[in-house]
Amino acid sequence: MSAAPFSARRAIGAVLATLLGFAFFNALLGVFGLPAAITSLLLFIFLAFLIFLRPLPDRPQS
Amino acid sequence: MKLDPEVLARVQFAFTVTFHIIFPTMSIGLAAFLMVIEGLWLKTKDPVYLEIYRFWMGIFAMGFGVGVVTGIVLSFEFGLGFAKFAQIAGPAIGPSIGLEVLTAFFLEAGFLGIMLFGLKRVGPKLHFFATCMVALGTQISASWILSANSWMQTPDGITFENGRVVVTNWVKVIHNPSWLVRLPHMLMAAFITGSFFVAGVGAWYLLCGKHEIFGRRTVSLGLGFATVAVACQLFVGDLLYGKMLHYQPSKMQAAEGFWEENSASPAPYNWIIIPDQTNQRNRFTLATPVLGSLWLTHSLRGRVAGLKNTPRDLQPTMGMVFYGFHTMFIVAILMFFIVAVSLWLRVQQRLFSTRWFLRALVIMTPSGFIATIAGWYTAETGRQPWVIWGILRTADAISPVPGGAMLSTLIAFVVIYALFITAFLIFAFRMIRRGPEDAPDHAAASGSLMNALRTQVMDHAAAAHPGEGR
Repeated sequence: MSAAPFSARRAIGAVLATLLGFAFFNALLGVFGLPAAITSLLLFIFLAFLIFLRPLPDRPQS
Repeated sequence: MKLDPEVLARVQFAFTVTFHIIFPTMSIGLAAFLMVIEGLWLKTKDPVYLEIYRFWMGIFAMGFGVGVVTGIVLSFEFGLGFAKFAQIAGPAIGPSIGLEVLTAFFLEAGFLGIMLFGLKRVGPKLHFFATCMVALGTQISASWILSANSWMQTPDGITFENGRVVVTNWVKVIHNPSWLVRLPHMLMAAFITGSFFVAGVGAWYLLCGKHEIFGRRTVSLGLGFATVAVACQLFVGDLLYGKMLHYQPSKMQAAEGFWEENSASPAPYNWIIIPDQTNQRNRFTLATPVLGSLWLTHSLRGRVAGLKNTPRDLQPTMGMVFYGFHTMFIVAILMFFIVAVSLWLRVQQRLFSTRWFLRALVIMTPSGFIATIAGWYTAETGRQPWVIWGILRTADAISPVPGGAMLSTLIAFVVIYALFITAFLIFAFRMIRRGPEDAPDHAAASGSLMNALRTQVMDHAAAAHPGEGR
């Protein structure tokens, strides 16, 4: 990934993440119905656990 | 000036319960957090988990103490301000409050001492068991109180005879129509409150460049809990919305800020309104088109029912319900944004180095408390003019006490609670500023505010004259 503070790749990633987040928000609110809300809740928690499994450093990396 | 005892009784109860709810919310959230942290410490033997446990145990202990004291006051206020309510509804809600004491308080009291003072006095597994029992106790306590309050919102299992509630089915009184949705909504609110509190303090340490390992671990854990809890809360919140729309339509009509019997199609989502209750209209509205249909009816063209569907004498005050609900909902949106961004930053390994995000976390530290209080305002002001929905009006539940007496007790509560909150904030900020490394193995009971202040003065003196020692 580019070290620049703003890059096209990062901007596209941010837009996609925003759209994904908005979709999850609406699904969790039940906009697409109860089955979709339950599915999206389980999927959101599953994705979150996958991300949590990635270790984060306890100290700043030099 | 004529003092209205009804208004004063309501203001007094609102003030004391607003103050009270801060502390059990924190206790429930932190107790669950401490249980998980101690479990992780037992599993991994990583000393950082023990450091986190010791640090947060002190703040939990203070919050727990203030929560118990301010909770007891509420029971007495049933007599002070709402004696007729206690007389009429006592047969239904009295046992729930009594059972809270028998099941939850006894459990907490039995194990709290081991939890707070037993880290070096009992084995680690017994200590962990004590922490689990205290956490369980806080949740049992919440379940009884939510049962009693939910019965006031959606009463069931009773008949009304000779001006008094008579219980016909205890299971229906406890397991009333809204309890099983309102309870997880409240528990999730407490978990979220604790999570953002913990993450906010950790973020503050990282911004200050202090306690780096502790800060990183608490930010990570706090956001981890918050991510799961916020997602669950959005789901449960929508279920509760549907339940309340069925059982208390006027509350939700007021919460969404619509007056007409049916809104336009598609309905906008109101963010800011200036309601005019007398003329049954909004003087000003700021809204997003279509979003009202989408979020409130789950369709693109659905219409939303307005408050004119409810007779005027049975309408709640729209402004209070609307802004209570919208404060809660907007804070929930911000929380979801924060946890979603945290996942993105975690993937990019920038969670601890993105300073704007850490600043946002510090700002969000009290967000759970704000959302919880706003949610309770929605629940209680939206139930008006009823104190027990459809059975007893608030105006008929007030004690026959002169307005002057009610005002004097209100002033006394304000003064005493101001002292409480001052003491709590002084102790809490002191503990946070001191940091995790100096956290004791047991809850530090200095005995008095004077002692705490004296210690602070001595700390300052020692800092000013470092060579002299103490």
